[in-house]
Amino acid sequence: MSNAGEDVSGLISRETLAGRLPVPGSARLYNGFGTLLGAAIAIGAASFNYLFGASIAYIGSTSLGIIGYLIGLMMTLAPMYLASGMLSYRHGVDPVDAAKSVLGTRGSSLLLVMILVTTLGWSFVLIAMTGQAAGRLQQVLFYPGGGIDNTFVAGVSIAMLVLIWLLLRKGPAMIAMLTRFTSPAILIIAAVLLYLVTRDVSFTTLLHTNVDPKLAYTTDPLLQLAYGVEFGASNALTIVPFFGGMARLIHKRKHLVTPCLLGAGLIGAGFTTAVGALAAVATGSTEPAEWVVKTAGNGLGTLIVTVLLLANLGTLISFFYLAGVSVQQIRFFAGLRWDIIIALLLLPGIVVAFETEWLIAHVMNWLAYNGAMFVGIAAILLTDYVLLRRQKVLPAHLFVKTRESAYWFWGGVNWVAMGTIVLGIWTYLSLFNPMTLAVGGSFRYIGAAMPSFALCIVTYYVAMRLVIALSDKGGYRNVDQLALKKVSVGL
Amino acid sequence: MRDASSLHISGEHAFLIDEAIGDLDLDLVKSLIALNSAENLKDETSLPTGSIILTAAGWFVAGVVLWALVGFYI
Repeated sequence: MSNAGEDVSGLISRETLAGRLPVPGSARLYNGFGTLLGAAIAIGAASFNYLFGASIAYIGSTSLGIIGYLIGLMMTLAPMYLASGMLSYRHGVDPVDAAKSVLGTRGSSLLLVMILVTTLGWSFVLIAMTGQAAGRLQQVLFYPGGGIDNTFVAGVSIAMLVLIWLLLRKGPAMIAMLTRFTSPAILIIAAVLLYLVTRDVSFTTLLHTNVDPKLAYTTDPLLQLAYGVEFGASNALTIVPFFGGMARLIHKRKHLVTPCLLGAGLIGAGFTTAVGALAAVATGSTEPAEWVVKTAGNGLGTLIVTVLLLANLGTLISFFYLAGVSVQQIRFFAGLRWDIIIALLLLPGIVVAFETEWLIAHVMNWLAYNGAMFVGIAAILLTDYVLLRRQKVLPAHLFVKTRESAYWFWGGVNWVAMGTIVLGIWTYLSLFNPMTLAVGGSFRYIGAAMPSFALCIVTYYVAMRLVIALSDKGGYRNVDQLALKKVSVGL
Repeated sequence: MRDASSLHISGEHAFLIDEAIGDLDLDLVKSLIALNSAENLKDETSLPTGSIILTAAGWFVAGVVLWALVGFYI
């Protein structure tokens, strides 16, 4: 293969960033607050936030729902960043490799499955929503009263797939470049939409306008606040499998938490979701393409919806990049070229393009359980790295595939961690059912995510202290000696 | 078979390397050695992380306090 005319160091850097090789500090992509903030906004702000906004409105109190949602993001994102980002930030390793020190050499494949299912699940939902919104726009403009043209929807969805491939084939540097444009566009559009929905009714009046109490999830103010907090927490938990992939590209310590929390949380997800909630109570519609045209008129409405849909590209290429790096855990993918990997990941999207309604209806329901899935994983990642290992992990042993690895545990799996993950799912679902919204007695005071997270931390810490006292499993003892041991590593 | 002298890995390290090592795995060994280099150990990413934990704790506590305040207010 000829690389004539291409800077060799640039090529190596690109290959490293697009692959599983540890990224040293000097090669990190995000050096500035602004660039990272932009990338974080792109991850947090996608058009499905406007749909989540409608759920916030249906809590029953628009103001309490929005305040609770922002509180939930704020208090949950910070510990999630620590749990899923610290090890990847320190050693530049991708999240699945990082998780081997906790879940075991083989057990970390559980996280790989979760990453692929979540990133690809959300990405395909977003592609389907983009196609559907474009179809709705076409119907509103040209065939009012008629149905959506499914061929048009499929065409737009496939065009999105092609655009993602073209943008991402050059590697992750495109994410930083693209989000420089899409993130401000998302915020400007959200601000314009906020202006439009508050044009005839003041912001304060709208904030205190609620949906019909008969349609509300509850009329109890404390429970309304707790629902808002839990929706925010649930959104924050979704970041657990993704964030390590971003953290390994961050250079400065002071950037690991705040710009990500502001970008992905309060600005990206929080602001756009709040606008969606206000629009839902102002227009009575939960379909963004419909209420945007209704409030802005055909001309401006079309422009806004088009920019909104194109801005989804920032979110989509971020998600597909993270999936592309993670899938290289499978040897077959590790040997393929980056552009081929991305093409293979996008391939199921062609089926999605023709089944957008089915995908939105079924996959969205399943993804509602993300919070339950990730609360236990976040707890063990944080406890293991910060409390049990005191931040001392041997990067070489993360790449040893045999029982020689310090992180082999029992047959390559840390069964204590697996048990804790199951405990997390059970606890979370016994306190809050994300589908039926049924809650336990303590929910209105403490929600579901935080008590489940705390219980998993205590359980895992006590159980692993016992393991460490009784055996050498997991490489918690004699770390300095293990570091000197000659090992054979591989991808 | 790869010629061992072509591997260009010098100095002390903790890796068992045979001559049949593939390009990808050789890149990994080099990356791991670079991770432990004096230059990388002086880099900001390898310094103590107390400030990261404190920042995260600050955001968490602020969220809990806000929840309590709003809860009492309503």
